[in-house]
Amino acid sequence: MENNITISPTTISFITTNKCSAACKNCCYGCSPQKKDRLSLGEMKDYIDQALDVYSTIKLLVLTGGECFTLGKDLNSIIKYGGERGLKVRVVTNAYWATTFEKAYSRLKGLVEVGLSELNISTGDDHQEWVPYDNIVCAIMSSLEQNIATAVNVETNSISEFNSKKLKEDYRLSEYFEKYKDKLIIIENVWMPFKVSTNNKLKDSLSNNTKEIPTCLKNRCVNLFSTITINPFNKMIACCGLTAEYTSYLNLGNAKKYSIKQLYEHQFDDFMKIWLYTEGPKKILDFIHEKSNTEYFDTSNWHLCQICAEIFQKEQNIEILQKYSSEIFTNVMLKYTLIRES
Amino acid sequence: MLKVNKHVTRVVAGAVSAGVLMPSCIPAGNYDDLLYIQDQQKRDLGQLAIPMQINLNSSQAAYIGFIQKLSEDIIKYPVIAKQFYNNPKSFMERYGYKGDINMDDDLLKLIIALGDDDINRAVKLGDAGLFIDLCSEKGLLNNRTELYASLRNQFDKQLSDLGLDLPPAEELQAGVALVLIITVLVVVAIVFTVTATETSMNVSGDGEQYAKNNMKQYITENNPVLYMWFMKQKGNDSFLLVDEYTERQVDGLILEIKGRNPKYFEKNSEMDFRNMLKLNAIMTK
Repeated sequence: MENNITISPTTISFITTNKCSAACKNCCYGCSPQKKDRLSLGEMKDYIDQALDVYSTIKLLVLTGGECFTLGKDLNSIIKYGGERGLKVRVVTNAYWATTFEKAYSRLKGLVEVGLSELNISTGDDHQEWVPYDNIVCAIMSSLEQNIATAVNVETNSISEFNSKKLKEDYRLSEYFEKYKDKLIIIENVWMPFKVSTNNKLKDSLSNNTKEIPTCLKNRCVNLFSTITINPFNKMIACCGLTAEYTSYLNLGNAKKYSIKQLYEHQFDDFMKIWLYTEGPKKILDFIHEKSNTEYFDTSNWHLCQICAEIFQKEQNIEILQKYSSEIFTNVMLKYTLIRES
Repeated sequence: MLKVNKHVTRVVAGAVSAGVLMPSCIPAGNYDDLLYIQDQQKRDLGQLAIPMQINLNSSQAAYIGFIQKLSEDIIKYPVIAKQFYNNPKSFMERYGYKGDINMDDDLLKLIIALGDDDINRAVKLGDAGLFIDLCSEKGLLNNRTELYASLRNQFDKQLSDLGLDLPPAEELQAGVALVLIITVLVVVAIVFTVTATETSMNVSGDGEQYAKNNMKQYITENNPVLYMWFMKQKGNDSFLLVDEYTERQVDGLILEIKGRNPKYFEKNSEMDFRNMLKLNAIMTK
């Protein structure tokens, strides 16, 4: 469809590989050492070129996985290429390579020299079954000492045992917290369980949970329309949430068959995505209940992506939305085009 | 009693939505790995859940273009915004489009603000405080009693332990805008929950802009009328609203606490409390 309602992306992100040094039981992509799918260096360079040719708004390259450090020298090469193309470059890692401070410093030094801007480290209960906590400490110290912006993302939910307290109280890090205030951020991010056993435990705990922020404060899905994300199968996906990988509606298509521009802009032909971006899944789920005369159920402790998945999992929901969307079409489109300007 | 950990500068908790910053999340159920792989191999072009064409026949293909132009004009020219909200149906008919627009409350308030001369003047002056005052006076901020009630219930125990037995919405002191204390209420509850289990964390630095963006997202989602400020104020000045809004939330809550529990700040440092709230409010989403 010819229109000018697109929102230009600011980030290009590669889920470079589903190979990982770990095999976390709740990994949303099911990554493990046995998996071998990956983007080649040539493919990643091509996608960067295509994206930058069309969208000058892109300023950041994110390299994640799986474990992007398993790419070896290709990781250095793609960081270098991104830097040369004027992008800031972030890598997301579990820090398995940071077995000692010296090794961590040396590995990072090679990346910093070719243009690495930011290190994101993922850790938490599941990750630490595979990657020792001390690796996280070594990675943080070696990154900060090279003046790299460092984010530690602690997987957490109400039944997590590990939390950021340990990091905060670690005597090895106290000086770094003080000295590198402007470079370090630690975030507790919701980590939803993927396996039945963990999921059931969490469900039990949710009834007494007060820590999660209520869904009523989480409205729009702003993960949409900000990033070009390409997975190891050369498929572009609409967002970074797990929902995207298991919902065909959020799979934007094959980047080997269509251009980056075609795939990215095709999603704006989907009113559903514009609706999600503008009003969020909660309102859409409420709309489905209203139109189908089905009973509302409590989603107050649900993550935004859970609500989204709930919508997409049932084909009859999509049918209802298709049938009744004309009722709110103009309202949503007008709101979308207005807030797009903010 | 809330004990502010002096070594803690900020606390971030819960569902921080940060796109690619944290790509490892979020299943809703238990999926079959095989389905994932199969789906990767199936489609070359993604499937559309609600194709635009469902809502637009070929003769209406220009409709999207019209809406877009309308948005631009509404933002640019207050008089257009005024004409439009006064009678959207006839406004649309002038452009050849028939039918009603069922504008929801949020959209209507935003367009009213965009057409309001006083509010436009406040934006032009770059006066975020005046902008918030005017939006409030003109009834354009959402008075979300349901949200307040829900949060008050959800964090009842934590608030009570804090000595902050916040009243039902209808009993809030006159002059305390409900909307201004909702975020802080959440922050208090979360900070308390976190400190109670000693899971505080140190967050600093580079996340400042990220944090302000989070706060921008939060305040606009809950009060879409505030989008107006960001539509018209580009660059760093746009975040004056975030600062002003945060400040007011903190003031609002402290005022409420003083009214409800005058002795609270005899036992606790108001300055520490204020600083903790301000630092955390902008980080919480």
